[in-house]
Amino acid sequence: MSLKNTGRLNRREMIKALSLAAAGGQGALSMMLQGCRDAQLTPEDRQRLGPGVALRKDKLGKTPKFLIVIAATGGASIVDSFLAMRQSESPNGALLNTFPDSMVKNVAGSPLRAVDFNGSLNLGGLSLPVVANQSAFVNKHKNDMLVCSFIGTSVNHVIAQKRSLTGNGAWSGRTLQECLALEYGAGFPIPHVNMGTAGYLENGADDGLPSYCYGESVANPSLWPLGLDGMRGIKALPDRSLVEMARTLRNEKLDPESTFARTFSKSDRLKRWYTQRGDGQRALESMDLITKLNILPNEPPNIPLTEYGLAESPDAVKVRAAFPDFFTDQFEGQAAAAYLLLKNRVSVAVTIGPNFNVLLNKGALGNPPLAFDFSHNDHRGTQAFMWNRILGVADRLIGLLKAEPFDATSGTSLWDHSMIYVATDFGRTKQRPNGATRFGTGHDFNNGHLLLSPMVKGNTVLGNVSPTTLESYGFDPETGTPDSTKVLSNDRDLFAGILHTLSVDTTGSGLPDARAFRRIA
Amino acid sequence: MRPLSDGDFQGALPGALRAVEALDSDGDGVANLAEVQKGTLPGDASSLPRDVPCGAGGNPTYSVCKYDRRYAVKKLVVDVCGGSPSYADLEVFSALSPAAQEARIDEVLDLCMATEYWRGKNGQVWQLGHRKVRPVGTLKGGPEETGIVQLGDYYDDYALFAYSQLDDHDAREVLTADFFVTRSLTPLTTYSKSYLIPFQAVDLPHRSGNLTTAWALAYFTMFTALPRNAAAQAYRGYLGLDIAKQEGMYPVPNEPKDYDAKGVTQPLCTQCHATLDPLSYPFRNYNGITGSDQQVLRFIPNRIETFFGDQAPAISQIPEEGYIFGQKVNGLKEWAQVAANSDAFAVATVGDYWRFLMGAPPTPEQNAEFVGLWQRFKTTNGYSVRKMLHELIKTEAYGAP
Amino acid sequence: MRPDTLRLLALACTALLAACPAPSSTLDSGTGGGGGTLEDGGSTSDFGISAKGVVRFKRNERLTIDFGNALGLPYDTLCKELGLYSCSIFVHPLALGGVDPYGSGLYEPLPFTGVTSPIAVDRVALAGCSQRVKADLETPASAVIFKGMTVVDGKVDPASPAAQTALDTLYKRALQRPPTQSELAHLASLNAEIVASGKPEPGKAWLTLSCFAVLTSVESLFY
Repeated sequence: MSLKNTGRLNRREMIKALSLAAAGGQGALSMMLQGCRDAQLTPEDRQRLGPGVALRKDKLGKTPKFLIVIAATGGASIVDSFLAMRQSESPNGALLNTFPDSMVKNVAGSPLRAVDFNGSLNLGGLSLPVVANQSAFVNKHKNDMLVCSFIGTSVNHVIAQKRSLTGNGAWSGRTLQECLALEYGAGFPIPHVNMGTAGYLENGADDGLPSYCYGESVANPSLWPLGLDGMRGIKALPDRSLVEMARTLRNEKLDPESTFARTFSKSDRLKRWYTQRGDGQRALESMDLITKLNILPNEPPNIPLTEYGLAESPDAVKVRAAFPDFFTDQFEGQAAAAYLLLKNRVSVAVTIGPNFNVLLNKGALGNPPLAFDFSHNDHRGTQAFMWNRILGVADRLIGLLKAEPFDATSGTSLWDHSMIYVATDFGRTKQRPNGATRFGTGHDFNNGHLLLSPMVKGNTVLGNVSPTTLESYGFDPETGTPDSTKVLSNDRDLFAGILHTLSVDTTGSGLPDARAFRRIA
Repeated sequence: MRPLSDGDFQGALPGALRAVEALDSDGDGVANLAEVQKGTLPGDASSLPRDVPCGAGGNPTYSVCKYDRRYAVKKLVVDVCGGSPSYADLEVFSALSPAAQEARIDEVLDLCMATEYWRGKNGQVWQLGHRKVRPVGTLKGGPEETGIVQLGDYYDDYALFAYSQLDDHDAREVLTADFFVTRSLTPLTTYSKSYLIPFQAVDLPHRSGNLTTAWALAYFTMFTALPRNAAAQAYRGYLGLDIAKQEGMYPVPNEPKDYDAKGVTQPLCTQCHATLDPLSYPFRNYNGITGSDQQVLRFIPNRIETFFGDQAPAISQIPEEGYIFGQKVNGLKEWAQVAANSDAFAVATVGDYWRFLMGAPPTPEQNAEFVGLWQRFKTTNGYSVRKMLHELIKTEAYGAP
Repeated sequence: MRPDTLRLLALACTALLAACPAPSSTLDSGTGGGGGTLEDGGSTSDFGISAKGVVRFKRNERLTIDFGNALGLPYDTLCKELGLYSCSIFVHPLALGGVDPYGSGLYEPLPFTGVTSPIAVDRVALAGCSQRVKADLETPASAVIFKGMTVVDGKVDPASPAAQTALDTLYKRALQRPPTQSELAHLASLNAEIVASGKPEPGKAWLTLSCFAVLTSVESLFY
């Protein structure tokens, strides 16, 4: 099939018009938000939600941990990265997705491997060169890397995506991000921001959590900050204090007395609305996030920030330097936003990741159609390209987090308190035509996942893959001992490992003690 | 792994239920039997019947215990026309007799369904189609909003879907139509049948609604030999049955055969693939984007043999006959007929509009109204969404505040 | 829907319910027009609430249409971030409950409003109300809501006939009902507060903020 390349990005004249150059009081705020949120919980809620919630007030002094989920959408294969197999190492090497020996790199002092790919991606009739250097990433970050084998339970994209976040319902169907928001997020204005796609965007199945635990969906991270203040950026409005008077009148007099509100007083949606527009809204606006999260530069006439009384973030220059394509590449924009959300103590959990759309960036391929799932057509090239993309963004994000002090006294960085979990739908089938270097693959339960954090037991592989079949086998989550007989799903182990590494109290969940994941067991 | 066979499970189930029916397993104060009968979950304390009698008391605006025609008509105009009616119009409405009000409600529905907001591009009917069509902007073909990699023009799929939902057309045609639908703005959107439109290459005898459009074949079949995704998406999108959630399971004996050697006979896989694989076989000759420009997005006899013959030893044995709801079908058109005539299709179609207009699935208390609606959709209403909606807006579920 | 599509919405809404035969003289106040009678023989001190308690957020398209109709403003100029980009359709669609099927693959609306939803609503309402007030005061001949307003020393008298009429018009356009005496009193008290603040142009501020308070009430946003 011939595929036409019009060079025209989808959506919209704005992207073309916007030609861009390369862009504490917290304690008191936390207390205000904490108080508001605690007031919403009944004794039954506290019992159901567990000791983590009941003790949350005491834990306000507990140092928060941060989770960034990078959704490697479409199926990122671990045997095309950190558990790659050389053809000579497998008795079935020619029929399995093994690599030429020279392409698989060992990393000194590490069980982790890397695939340094130099080939192409076949995009229909177009052959696009792909050069990917995973070994540089592993060499740089190995001490913060943990790779665990994974056997999942679905080969349906949307289902599997969600299960990669819920551990297949390991803890009442909650997502990892919701768990983190429940543990640490009460004092944060938007504890959980979700910029993912499809199944990664869905809430978990536990709809009894406090509403702040659920993800705030964001489609366009570069423009989203414009909506973080009810007034700023709109010309000729009354003074803020007067707007607050009107809000108070509406909230305390007009609405409560209206027949409509009284008639539908049982509505959960109205109750949620009242909560959302109350103190939480004021707290959010008081943080000046419309500035702090804005990395758009002032570039009239397309971005007339100054004219509208707005300004770019104090961090805009360094963030734009790290992610120069933040506006044209959503994934870079999401990563930029993720850094700022953590740095400004807005969120504890952020989800980012490419979607299925094709991206052309300055005439070059930025994202193949279907992201990792283009492996159906050209497995090797797609995996190399997309892993390069994921690791490139992760590397720059880690750089920003490492350079950001966590606070004024501890001497630690924001990275020291953060984790990146590279979630993915599933693995890919392991077979290939005899000796083929270009082939397509389907979906497969067997895979592995990457965790990046100074809190994980770094430079570690838990479980592994069989040289005979390339299929994953599991491990003891407590000791880390590989177990070649453990070939059924181990979602819970990974789910527990992530939560325990992030010091989330999972009492009552029945999750295994996954100390094998933790640097400090 | 399932510890019991299907037969053992079925045989033991009645006794197990009898043993627990008098208990209150979740401690919510309602016995298990009562919960099952009322449609709530006996194992979930937060799920319990809420058939609380309507409270006493006056209300200056709403008739909270019964169908309130003023409330219903205002809601209807917002839902279907897209904006609130004017104060003056509501006053005129309020002054009508009950019979005249009821007639006016019907007229309003028909007027609003003629608006662009309802029927136009990206209107409400289109929005009901999103999760069935599953568009991806940069992969769109065709002259409007052309994507970078033009797999297919899914606006054709939306057009057929909208056509089937409007103007007393038969909703089943979204699965069974052998025609396409064009869309024109003259000045409001009209949908017209057409037997020949650009880039739709499946020949007339083999067309089957949105199952065989260029977009469906390109996106859901794409490069795969056995189009499991296409079958599963059709099952999910149009029949409301998600195999990945263990819904609509009709395992066929001695399946899956794993013709394409994907390992689906493993114990973990068979519980879904015993249904999914036979469901997919009728799609076997509908080509995605494998082959030359003259071969893609078409019905290709012996497609498997032509393009995928060397992928697995038994792959060419994939039959064209398959199974849906446990019923054998001889090809995709018959598959589509069985699907479209099924209760599942009616439930899914009516359920879409119910959720759209109510904001939530039917509650246990509303189940009787919902069942009546979809059953009459199949029978007296002849699969006309318009007629069904005229009934839906008259239900207590819709019109009682 | 994109703004251009919204522009094509030549809604019959405003004449929708009246384009039919003349009304009958028979009234049934119980279920057709909210005539204020009591239901089910309850006590006059009881207030009948909905047992279902089901309301729905209007979401971005309906909000845009309703705000635009209420304020007499074109949908595509109602609110524009940086003066250029539609607030409700382009910049904040998800916050306002919309979908994004072609981009991020959000095929169905989110089941709940988000943390930033009230902020986005406030922005659209403030932008629209301030436009309406400005236009009505600067071009009184074509005023839509705030007709015949007299501004003296920057102030407006909320008890004046023009102000009362304006509020009546505002409520009828936004909520399809007249204001109650209590609501009028509350809005008058808002005016007093604004005047007492000493901020400039209190009259204009009061008109804008009355509009804002009504337009962002739950009765306006939900149905």
